[in-house]
Amino acid sequence: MASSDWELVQRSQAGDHEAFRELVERYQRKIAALALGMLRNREDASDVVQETFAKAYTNLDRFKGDSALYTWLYRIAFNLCVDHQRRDSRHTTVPLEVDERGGSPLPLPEGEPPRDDPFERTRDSEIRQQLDEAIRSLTPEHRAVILLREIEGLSYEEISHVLQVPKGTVMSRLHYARRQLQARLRGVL
Amino acid sequence: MAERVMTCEEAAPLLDAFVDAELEGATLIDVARHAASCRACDGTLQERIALHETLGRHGRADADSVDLSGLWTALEPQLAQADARRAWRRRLRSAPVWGGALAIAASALFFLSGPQQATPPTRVAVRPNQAVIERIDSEGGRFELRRERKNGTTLIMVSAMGDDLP
Amino acid sequence: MRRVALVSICVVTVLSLTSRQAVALEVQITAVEASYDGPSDPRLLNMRPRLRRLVGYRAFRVLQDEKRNCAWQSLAAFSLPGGRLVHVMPKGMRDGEVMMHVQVVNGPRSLVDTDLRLQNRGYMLIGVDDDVHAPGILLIMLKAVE
Repeated sequence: MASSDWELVQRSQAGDHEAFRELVERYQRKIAALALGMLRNREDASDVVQETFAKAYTNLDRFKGDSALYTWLYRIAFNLCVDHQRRDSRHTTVPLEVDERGGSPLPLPEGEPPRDDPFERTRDSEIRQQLDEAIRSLTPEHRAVILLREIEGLSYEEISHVLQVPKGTVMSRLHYARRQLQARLRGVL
Repeated sequence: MAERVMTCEEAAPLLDAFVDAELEGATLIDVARHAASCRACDGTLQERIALHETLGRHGRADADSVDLSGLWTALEPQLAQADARRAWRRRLRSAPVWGGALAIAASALFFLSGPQQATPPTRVAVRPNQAVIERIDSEGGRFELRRERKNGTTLIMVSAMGDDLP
Repeated sequence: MRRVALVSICVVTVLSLTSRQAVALEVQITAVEASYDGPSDPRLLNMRPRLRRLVGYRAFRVLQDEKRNCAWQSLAAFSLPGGRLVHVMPKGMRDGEVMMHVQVVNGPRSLVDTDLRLQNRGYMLIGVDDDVHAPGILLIMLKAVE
């Protein structure tokens, strides 16, 4: 039977690296998804994932189990993403490539039939491109609420824990971010 | 008793929470009832749902493409460092009480024994990659020094072309 | 795309069995190409966040890696990609720091000429932004082996 997060945390706090490794493997993709959504660059996202877990291990004795482990990890990752963006603001960023495999479509969410129609593939590619640009236009705080709510499916309460802001602030940021995205995506929605 | 009818001003701020299934009880029913009878609010709801579907379908930025194959190899030495720091802090905390008493007695003796000696230089914690540049020169190029605060890692950045440095 | 070569120098002190003072300093020079995108060398993955913070590039690829024992007060020359050279002269040890003279030359031209003290077992970087040759990074690392 799989160990609970809290059991693995306690074992990791006692210096059990294998227990921590299990936590890393459990949550690395979630953190990668958030980091990639925030930073829109794979190498940057990979760095943030590494820094998130390094920081988490160093500060593991501060985790008391009063929130879910993944919200605590998301918080660390979000703060690291904001730091990265502040440092990188003077550098030109390479946009996230929508299609890196020479024209072949990106994987679709599970359960959807494959799109063999070239027109559909092109249209999907255009939508992703516009969506990427629209998300980039948001501030880090607004980008975070959209990613955490729409992509990661966190509740308002969980998002408020991650971002360390009141629930009301989460709601107002979400409202603003959705209006911004809707305005930019008017032609594709 | 007549049913309470929500106005647009009351319903509009709650539409996001309605789509996100964050409403409960009477508020949930009131918003649903209002949206069913208000074209404008229903239109807003449909837009939110369309955005949610688009984000769900296209918004996930292909996290599987992030290369995490070397993650554990990169993490392990950092975990070992963290363990070493934690062990050192534990040793400090568990130092016997009489050790502190001895230190206090020694300090008292020092102050009472005679003229004050020169204060020993303060030792600053040394960072692992600390470097001191005593002298530097570059023929014709521009150079710049940068330092990482945590580990003290020093970078000498040189532009051989005399251009602005990256 | 502009690329910067970073050369890493790792300096290791080898202590002899009969004397407290090391008879030689082990110097490691690693030439790394830094760019805005592309894969990074797995050997540098744990250092990449630190490198990114310092130099701003995202991808780091090892071009060359050389390790050699260098006698005290003697000049050692390491070749770099693009025909450049790194001259290293270990001068001594003091308070846990290695004192060195380091020079990076490109033909007759001295790109960097510096006297420095580096914490034992630590490393440092020299970044050369040069459009003429393939870029390289110079990084100095010092370790004591007992």
